[in-house]
Amino acid sequence: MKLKFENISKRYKTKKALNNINIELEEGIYAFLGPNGAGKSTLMNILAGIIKPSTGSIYLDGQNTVSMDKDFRKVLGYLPQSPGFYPNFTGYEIMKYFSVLKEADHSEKKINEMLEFVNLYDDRKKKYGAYSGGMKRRLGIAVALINDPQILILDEPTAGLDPKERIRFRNIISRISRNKIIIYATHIVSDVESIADKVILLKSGEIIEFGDTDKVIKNVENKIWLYDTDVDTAEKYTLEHSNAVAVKSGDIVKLRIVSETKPFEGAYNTDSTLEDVYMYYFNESGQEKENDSLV
Amino acid sequence: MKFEIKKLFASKLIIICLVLLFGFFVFFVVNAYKSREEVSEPYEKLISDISDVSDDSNSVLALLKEKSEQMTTDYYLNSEMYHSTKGEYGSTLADDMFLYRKAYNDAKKYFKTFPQNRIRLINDAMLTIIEEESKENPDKSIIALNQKAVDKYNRQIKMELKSTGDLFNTLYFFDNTYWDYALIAFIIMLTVRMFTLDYSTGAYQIVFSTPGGKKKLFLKQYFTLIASAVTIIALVSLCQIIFGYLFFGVNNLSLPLQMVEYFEFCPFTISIGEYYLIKFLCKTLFFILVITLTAALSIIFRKTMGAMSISLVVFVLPLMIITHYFMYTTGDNVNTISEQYRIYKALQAITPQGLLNLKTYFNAFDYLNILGVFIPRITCCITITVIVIILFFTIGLRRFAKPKR
Repeated sequence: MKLKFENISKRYKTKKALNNINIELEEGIYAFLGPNGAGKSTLMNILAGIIKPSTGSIYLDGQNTVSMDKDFRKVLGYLPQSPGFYPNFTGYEIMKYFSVLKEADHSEKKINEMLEFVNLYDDRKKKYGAYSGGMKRRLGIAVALINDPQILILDEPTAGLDPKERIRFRNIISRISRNKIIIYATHIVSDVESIADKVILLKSGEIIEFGDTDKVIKNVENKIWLYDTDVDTAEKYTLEHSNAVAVKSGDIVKLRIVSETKPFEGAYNTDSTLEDVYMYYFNESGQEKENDSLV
Repeated sequence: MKFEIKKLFASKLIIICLVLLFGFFVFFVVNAYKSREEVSEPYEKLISDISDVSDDSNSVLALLKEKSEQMTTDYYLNSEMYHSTKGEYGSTLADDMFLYRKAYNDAKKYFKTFPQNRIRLINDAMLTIIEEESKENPDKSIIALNQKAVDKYNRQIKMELKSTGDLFNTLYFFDNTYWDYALIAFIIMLTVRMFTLDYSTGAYQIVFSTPGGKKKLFLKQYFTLIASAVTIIALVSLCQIIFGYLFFGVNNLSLPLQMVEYFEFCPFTISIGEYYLIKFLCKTLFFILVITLTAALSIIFRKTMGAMSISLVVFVLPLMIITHYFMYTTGDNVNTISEQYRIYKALQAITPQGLLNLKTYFNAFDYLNILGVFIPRITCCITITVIVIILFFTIGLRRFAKPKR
């Protein structure tokens, strides 16, 4: 199964949200990383058919998804950034309604199975309006999965979840990922670091990096520095520079700095992570990377 | 459809509005009850007995005339006895005398005045035709229109000496403008809710990415609304028939509509029951229009308040304008040849809101000359309504769940 984005651009009046996106995806988990406003949600919405691209097309195994219409939506599962359901429906009713809309198996057995899968079986008779944020998200994933989709779009699925819920969610995604294209858009790097097969970095509507997670991490291998210092220096540095993270270890503070060159005398290289990749390409405000090697 | 109904009514606000609407209706029922008229059982028995004696209207008239004149004469000779002796129908003979007089007057109205008035209408129309034809350049449309009047009125309407009750008061209490305002507002609210709920809850992205079929979803939502509206209108219409019978004695629905005084000059050959049915269908058609237009607006705006405000302005404002003209033209100083009345009738032909005030289409000869073809004003109004429904249904269907540009 191949999903191809060809020359996808999207313009909102004066703002260019996406600029000539060209990628080809096969089975696996794809982490779409980028700061807010990078164009992740726009791309997800275009794939789901909610908004139209200004130019370009998407192809599934060579067929245009727009002309595939219903056939494409049959293999699609979508969990948008801010999903919502009807507050007066119970969890079970929502599952039933959407399984009918998705032309999926809407037997009681299947719905209960899915609710159990996302750990909502005991709360199936509760009204959606009474669900917690985590429960709502889990119900969203159950709805997205009810038709056993071949392509699963998850747009910021863990936003607002507590750490326990996030781990639970990550495990669910790992379990279902076989033979599927899972597009996981997020800016919470730790959510995808252990599960993503490939990483796509999106910035100002353009893809700036695309590759295997390991390779992308390796790309910044010699650019991650550690520097042991005192609290005051670390505080001063992190306040002035967005390319550094301070980690306290007893009396010592370890400054983790992303930099092309050695930032201080005494700083030493360390192993890179996906978070470092994110830091390397996007600073806190999502601005262009800069060489912050000066103290 | 089960889920669509749940989507529609699973809201406290909607339930409160439904209860308010019911309360509003109960208010009319109570008012109607207070103004109810006792059904005169003695009178009903008298005319039933008379009808049993003869089917022939002339015999009935002669019999009633003889009886009422005889009783009147006897009454003046021996009034004391008339007030003290028990009557056959009423509590005294004097009551019987008044009942016979009333029956005679009614019979005269049905069997004499009505046909005479019809003959006069036909004669007037024929005279106009002759006058027009004698002119050097006769106006063919005037000739054709009057010929149409002759055709329509030159028909046998079988009048019977039976009580029709007070249909006009029934319409006054159960078919009035305030009730229509309330129902329009409620239906608009339901429609806006149905078509914007997915946006207001945020479910639209998931709903519209499903293969369920956008057309199918639109039709499900649309027909759920129509089914709900038809149910409400049907219930109200049923109440109207029941309370009309209980409070104002409107029965004998198979009798000709012309037996109701207000409809004496109705050119159509229909019964009171058929009139009720037409009224129900026209009301339903109007509310289908309200649903269709509001649905299209909700789909275009995707915002609850915007769609609701515009729909209210579109429906209630013209309704108020029409009502204004109606109130004005039925005032003391205005007659049917006034300019205001002309404007009112013109508005009624082109605005679907006219379907809510059906009685004015049925109380007179009311045909429009459109390119030489004479069509009843109500047909024109129904045609326009159907065209607008089809137009906005198409817009709604095409725009429903369309990806944003």
